[in-house]
Amino acid sequence: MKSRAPLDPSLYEAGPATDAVRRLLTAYVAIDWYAPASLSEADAHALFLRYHTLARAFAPDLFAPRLEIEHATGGLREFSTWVDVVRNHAPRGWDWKYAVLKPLTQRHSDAHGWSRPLEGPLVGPPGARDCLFTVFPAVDGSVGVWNVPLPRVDWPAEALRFFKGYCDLDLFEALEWQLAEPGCPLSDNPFVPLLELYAAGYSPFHLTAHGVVLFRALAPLT
Amino acid sequence: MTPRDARILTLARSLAGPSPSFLDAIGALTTSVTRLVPAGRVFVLGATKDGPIVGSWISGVGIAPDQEGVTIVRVGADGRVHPLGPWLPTEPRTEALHR
Repeated sequence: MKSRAPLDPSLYEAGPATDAVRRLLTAYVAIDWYAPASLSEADAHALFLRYHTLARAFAPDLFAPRLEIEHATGGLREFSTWVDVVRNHAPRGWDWKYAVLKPLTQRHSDAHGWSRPLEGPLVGPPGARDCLFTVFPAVDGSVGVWNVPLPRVDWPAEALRFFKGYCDLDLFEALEWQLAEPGCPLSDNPFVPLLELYAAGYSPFHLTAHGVVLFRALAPLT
Repeated sequence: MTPRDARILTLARSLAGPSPSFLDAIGALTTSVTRLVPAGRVFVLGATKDGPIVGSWISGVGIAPDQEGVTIVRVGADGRVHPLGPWLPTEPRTEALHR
């Protein structure tokens, strides 16, 4: 199911990162979510390895030196079971998004001296359709807030909404990577292979630091 | 509301106090998110008739201005806004505690 996009990526200006930002947004809003896979398992395997290799090259201590990639297939019931496993039964202390991906982005931003802008062309009023950020003046200083009206889809199955929400966060990680390092080719952004994996109909369930299951649907899940 | 949302709101309340302005509540919320979550972000989630809703992309839980000051809401995937309560949770009445 494609989500209807209330945003127009071509409106966004991001200085030297404009082209990368528009390409990331354009590709993301075009994803046909939870459709059957459009890539072979071997190609999906290679994409996940690319993400892992790029990410580990930047932050070796966050990523296991070796990765075991398994594959799984099924329908909504099996997908929901995997969501439940990764959500409620992952080993303590391991959380792919919060313990690995977010620290990766934070370190990259810090390394490039980047923080969310408080002024300039990327900033506009809340709800503006051409600015990535908005700023609120608080008593302790202004704060920058993401202002992109990414489409949400009201799927009946909560597991689908849950998983897509975290995919959305990976898009924001990818965008911040480009904003922090505008000269980085998209092919070197570690989050891009993940977004390509989602677009190709694969859902990674990273259950341990060294083990991931790439799930693909046998028929549309929505 | 998820346990993470609850932790973030608890810290934000302690930073902003019991009756902050909406802008100061956003400042406290943002500080709380960046302290508790690496690369923590807050998002404009939508708007009510009184102003923007700012909060978590994942859960849809955020804050919005209202006539009383600041209110907690959740924006559903369908875009509907569900009130969750005031900035400060209602305290049990003292006399009830001593019964």
